[in-house]
Amino acid sequence: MQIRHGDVLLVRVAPAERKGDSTTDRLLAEGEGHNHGHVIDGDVEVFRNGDDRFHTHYVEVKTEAMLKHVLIDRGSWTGEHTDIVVPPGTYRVIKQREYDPYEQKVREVKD
Amino acid sequence: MSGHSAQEVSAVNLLYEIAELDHPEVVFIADPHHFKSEISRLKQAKVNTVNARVTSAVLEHIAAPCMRKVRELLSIERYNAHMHQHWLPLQRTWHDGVRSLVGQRFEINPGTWSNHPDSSDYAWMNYIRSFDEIELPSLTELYFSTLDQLTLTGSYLTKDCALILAAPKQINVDDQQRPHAADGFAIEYPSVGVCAWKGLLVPDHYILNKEGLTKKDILEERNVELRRAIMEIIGPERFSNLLDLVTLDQSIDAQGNLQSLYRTREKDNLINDHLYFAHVVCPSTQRNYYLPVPPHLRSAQDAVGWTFGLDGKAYNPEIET
Repeated sequence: MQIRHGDVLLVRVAPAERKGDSTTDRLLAEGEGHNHGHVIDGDVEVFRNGDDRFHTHYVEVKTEAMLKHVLIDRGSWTGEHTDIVVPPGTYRVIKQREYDPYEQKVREVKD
Repeated sequence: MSGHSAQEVSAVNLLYEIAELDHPEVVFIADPHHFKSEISRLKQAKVNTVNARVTSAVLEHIAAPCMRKVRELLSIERYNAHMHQHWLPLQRTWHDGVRSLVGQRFEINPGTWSNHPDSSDYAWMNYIRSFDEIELPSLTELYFSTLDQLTLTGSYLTKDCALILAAPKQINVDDQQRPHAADGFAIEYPSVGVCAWKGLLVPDHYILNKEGLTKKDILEERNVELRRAIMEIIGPERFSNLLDLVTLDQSIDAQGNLQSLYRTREKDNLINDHLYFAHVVCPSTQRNYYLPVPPHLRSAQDAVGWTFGLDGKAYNPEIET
């Protein structure tokens, strides 16, 4: 199963794939300078996947969680990307990327 | 420094009294450049702020009693309904708008400003005033009347001196009340201004010299939201004309939106190759995005999948917002 929330994609994977350190931070991705972020709320454990820029996290949803796009400083909805209910399972979190044709390398999408 | 009235000085003095501080020298400043340099001067002189003390006093003596009254009188449904109708649009104009954009544009760290008095107070004040049935505590009334007098953008407070950055002389907003202007400044001070597109800070030349925008401007813009803003400012037709794009493949994604793979007609001089773009439409906002992709991709589906590190067959979101 795949869930896309703007520039963030959650892909359900086998539980054995999960790696990284558990964190209490529920912010999966944040926009650059716009106070916007994708957060996951609910019965969920979040794992930070080291310094990987593109596979930033794994999340383990136990019963049900909600993926939200919020103003980081207030936690209220931005008005973009409505909430998505995430069913139980283990998910790899993937951040969208683009190609720099001049440097010939992959870079993060900045929003 | 701009001229100011005795009422405006009294308004600032009132805040200092509530915080149990002596009246300061009140310095009114007309533009953000000058505001920033005055703050730097005070910081260099190692003058401590009383921002936190005044904010704390406002919260304790003005906001808390007022909000207690609101909670006593209103159902949660009515409170929330008013929140959406009155508070959020004003927040977009003032807190996320003027305060945030002026801070970004003139590189004034938002943590530097005092939370009160501040232009975002107008949002709070108008929200509270939208409840006809609430008789406000006298100190809240007094604070609101000071805000009526002050017309400020923000403040920086020390024990002896209160710097007050005047309100912009004009704010233009879009239909969602976000600072926005297709021509000219969205937030305008007497000598400087801020260009904004649907609440997003954009470089001045994107608006003030949009006819002069070139392919180089698009390709050098690393921020995808700003690149999207360029496209909206100059229109999709001129945008793709500037890049001189030809369509390699198009398909309909699972949400029913068109996704495309484009290539520049001519080879780019610097890399001696064409430039390739995936074009996607956000299902939530209907905004259009052009993301550069590598040259080996052959279909729109492959190109969009690549932007998430997957091949086209593996990329298949079931839910998307």
